[in-house]
Amino acid sequence: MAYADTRIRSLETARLCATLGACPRTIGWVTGLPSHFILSKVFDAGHRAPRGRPPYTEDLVFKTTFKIQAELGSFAVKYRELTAAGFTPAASLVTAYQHYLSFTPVPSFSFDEAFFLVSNLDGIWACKTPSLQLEPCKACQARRLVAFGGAYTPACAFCKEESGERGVRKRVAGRTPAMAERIEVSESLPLQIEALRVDVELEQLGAHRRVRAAILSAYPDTPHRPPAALIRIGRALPVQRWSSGVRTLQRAQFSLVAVLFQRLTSGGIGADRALIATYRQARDAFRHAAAPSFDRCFEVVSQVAGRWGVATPTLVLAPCDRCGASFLVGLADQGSGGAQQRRCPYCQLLRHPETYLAGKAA
Amino acid sequence: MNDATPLNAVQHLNFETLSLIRDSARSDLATACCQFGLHPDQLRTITALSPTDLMQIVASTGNVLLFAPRDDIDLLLAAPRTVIPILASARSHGPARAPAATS
Repeated sequence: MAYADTRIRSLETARLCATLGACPRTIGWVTGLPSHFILSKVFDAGHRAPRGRPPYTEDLVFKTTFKIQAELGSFAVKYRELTAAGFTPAASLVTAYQHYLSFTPVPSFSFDEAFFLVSNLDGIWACKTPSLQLEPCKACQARRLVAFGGAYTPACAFCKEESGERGVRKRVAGRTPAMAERIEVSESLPLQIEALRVDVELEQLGAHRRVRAAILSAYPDTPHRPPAALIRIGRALPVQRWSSGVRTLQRAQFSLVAVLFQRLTSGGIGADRALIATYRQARDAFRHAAAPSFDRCFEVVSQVAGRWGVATPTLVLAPCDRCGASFLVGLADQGSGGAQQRRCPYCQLLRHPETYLAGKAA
Repeated sequence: MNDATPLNAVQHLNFETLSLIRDSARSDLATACCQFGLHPDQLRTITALSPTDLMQIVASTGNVLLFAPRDDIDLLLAAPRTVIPILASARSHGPARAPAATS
């Protein structure tokens, strides 16, 4: 589970870095993802990675104009505040740069340069030891960037910002969102992140790995194939004699799952998310009884909706005239007609609640 | 609405309910559909509301409940307590109506 969470966080960070204009090597440093994965999954043929060497320069801070030094200083202060508050360096870097973009119309430095600055500040990623530090100016008290250990203390950029420009650097190295207007990444990357999140939730709900594979097969770039036949874990449900072979409580539980699933999918919600929400809702609604397993609910929904390896539905929802709810009926059972109506599981729960729902009552 | 005027009880309820639905739907649309019994399209409309929209709606609705009790409220209230959440989830419901006269 921890591995999946780390993987989701890495992919999400990679996506954010790419949208901020990061080159593949920077993304690799920040996330730890291998370069071939970044080049094939984060970027693709329609959204190409920036080409050339990353713009990492040692004289990034001190051979620039005071204006750029002040902007670098304010970015570094925000980054330091976030790391001091307990956020990870990767999250702090992304957030601090996004914050910087929010108040500057034309950025003076790119995300790659911000990354290199942070590396120098903390002695992480691209730098083994810190070479920069933040120090308050004695005149204006603003925290500014100086060489680590106080070897070289330049004039304060915040004090001198208004007094004219100095230095050589006047252009941005690397891509910035403002220049490229909107940097896009591979369309499959958000889907991969969503698939990982769904997989984590399915695992938490106790879904079998074959069931998880069947549900995740709908996502692109997945190693799972769509199932060719109904996936069931353990003995099959007696669909042929649904009304007599399945206990009343279970018929009510499965009926509720089927009703909610149909309601959600007809509203345009994906089958995976609909099934997860449906199962949780049914489990909560039947909190006074033993909950059915997720795998069993998946088996029922497959047979109602004709999904995940089931070509034609074998169970249907029928309305009950008495209680107004819909309940599941086996298609092979329908010959009994009126007898089916009398076997509405909800009506039986209403008549004898203590028989079915008193076991775990608080 | 005057900003200094506190919300009345009904407006307060409308504001709390709308805010709760909006936050839940933004977090997980499918779960919010199950919890509040609203259609996904209705929830998408609510999630798109800004805080200003929310306050304007609450203020302009006045002393009327936005989320009125469901039409089967009489049936649910009469049901055994343990069956209420099951029936409430299983039945599709529409706007509230007067209960049928009993002979």
